[in-house]
Amino acid sequence: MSPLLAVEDLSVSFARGGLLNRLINPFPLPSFNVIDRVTLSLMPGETLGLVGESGSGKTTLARTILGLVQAAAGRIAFEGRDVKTQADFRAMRRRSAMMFQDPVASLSPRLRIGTLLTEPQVIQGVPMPDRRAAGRALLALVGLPASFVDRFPHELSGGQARRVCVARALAMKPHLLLADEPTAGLDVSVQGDVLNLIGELKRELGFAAIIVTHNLAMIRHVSDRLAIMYLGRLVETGPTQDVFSSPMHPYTATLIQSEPIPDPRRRGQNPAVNGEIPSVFRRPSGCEFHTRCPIARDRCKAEAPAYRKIGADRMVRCHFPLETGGQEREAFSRASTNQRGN
Amino acid sequence: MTGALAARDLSVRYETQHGSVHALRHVDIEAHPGEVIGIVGESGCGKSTLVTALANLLPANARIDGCISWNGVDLAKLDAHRQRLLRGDEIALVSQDPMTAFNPVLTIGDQLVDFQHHRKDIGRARKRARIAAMLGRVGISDAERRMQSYPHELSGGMRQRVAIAAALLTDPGLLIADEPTTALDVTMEAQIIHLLRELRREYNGIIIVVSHHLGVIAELCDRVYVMYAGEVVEGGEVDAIFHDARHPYTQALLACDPARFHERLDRLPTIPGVLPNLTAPPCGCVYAPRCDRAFAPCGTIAPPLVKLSASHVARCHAVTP
Repeated sequence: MSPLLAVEDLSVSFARGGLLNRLINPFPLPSFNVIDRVTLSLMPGETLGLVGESGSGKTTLARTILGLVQAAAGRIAFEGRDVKTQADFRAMRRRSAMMFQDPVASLSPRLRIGTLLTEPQVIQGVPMPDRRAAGRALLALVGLPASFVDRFPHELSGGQARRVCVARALAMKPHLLLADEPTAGLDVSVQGDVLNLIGELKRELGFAAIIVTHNLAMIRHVSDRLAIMYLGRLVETGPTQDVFSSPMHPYTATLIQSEPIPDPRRRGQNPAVNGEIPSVFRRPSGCEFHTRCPIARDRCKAEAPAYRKIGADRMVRCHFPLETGGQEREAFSRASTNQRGN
Repeated sequence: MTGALAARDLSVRYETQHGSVHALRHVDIEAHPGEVIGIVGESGCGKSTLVTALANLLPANARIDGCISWNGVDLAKLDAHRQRLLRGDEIALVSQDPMTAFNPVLTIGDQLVDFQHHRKDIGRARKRARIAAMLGRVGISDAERRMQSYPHELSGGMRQRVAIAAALLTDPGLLIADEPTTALDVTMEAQIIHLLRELRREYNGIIIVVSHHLGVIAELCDRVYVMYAGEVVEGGEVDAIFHDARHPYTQALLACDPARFHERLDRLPTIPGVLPNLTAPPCGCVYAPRCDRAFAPCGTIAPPLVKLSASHVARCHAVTP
């Protein structure tokens, strides 16, 4: 089976300095890569979790895939065809959809829900004999009452606004859904609701999804594969269950260990990692995680590790990956003092 | 200064043009020096109203019934001036995003000097020395240089550390942290949790942590109050709440947390139904419309607070000691 989406060596760079600086400075500041040579692929019907902390570039990557941010280098192929020009991206967006992070901000406050839901069809020129009926059908799809077509976004709760965003994203029957933090700001009892809805519709309609999030506890249940980002680079990818049960990159392992556990009998002793995420302006030399890595060695400071394949389906960017039974894993569990009881 | 805090039969309603919103109803809580108290609940449960009432910072349209006592003094009976003195000296607040709590045009050092304006007994140089020491205690290296920084020059985690330092500078008997880690990334969150845990070893006042995140509460607190729709529905030792929850809402809330399941779930658990309208709260149990164990009296009679053990209480008809 060929992948639905293939991204190869994708980079996005932002220019430094303001407009004036760029115009008058004879030696312009070097631009820097916020996304650096990202390679990933997505099979039809698959769910990929894109995980990282703030500033890791996960949202920028999602927006670049849909052509909302211009890539500096690299290649995107969707359903086997290269996507290069704006026209290609427009054609791709007809068969893919994005759910933006803030549901209320992504719904225009002056339009009624019915109008908002059917905007994608209008923009893409899909004939709709009865626009209100189409709106009602989409509301029924996500389990909202038909009377909502006449409501305004501010009349909805956070969970309802998310459902409207899900309905709008699915209006064009996309083959690919990109969901940026679909549960941010939702209560835990409502979060499950939105994720169950996306899961059910996925089984029914068969689209593939990329879910961008920092919520590890949630992504574990809704994704098939995980891609972990740090400072604009992928540091690890692999099947979700494998990544959780045996993380290979020390960053993945610290992320999993940092997550607070809702069980007072299993309190951690010390934070799994100290220090702060460095800035992409001043990317550390060698491996960018060496400044915080508990098992960093001299080689990590000097030499950037390659993104290499380990086993059948794991990719890791680390000189000393934490392989099961290996001495690195032992060293990591010794160095990381956040041991929890079971 | 240390002392005990207690709220007895505390109710708060907001008078709005659409009628009174009964945001807090008949809340009983208590806290003793050296304790870390967790207040957990979903949005709209009244946890922010509760801590705002404790800090005496409710807006003008709020009407308070019941009593909040601090060291045996009824806070509601104090005049505005005395209340203000108490807030500066004995009650300190750490907010969710300290960016909005700091003045963007003053340096950290200047602002932390101002935080100590109640301390008339010490001079500016001594105050700056105290700041440097306190910044060191909350894990900020290079304190002298950081005091020259403006809030925007610090990262989110660093700002939260400074906010905690600012709160501790007044040596408060009550430290209220309202969603202290919600704005932070998970690795920073772990560090702030660790910091609060370390601080409590030397600090013997009361810390109240408000959060919607069950993990944060479990990692930090000694005792927990679970709130729903303006009421405390269950309270007890952290271990009892997480391992022997008795109220159906607490049980449902715990069951919803995906962090509790390591095997992949095809359907995540949820709590069906919606929060009751607080302009006209139901006359029976507030949770009855969503409760799977509701029976005859739940719809009409407000459940009593049932004492399950010395420290464990639940407001439910279906529980028995």
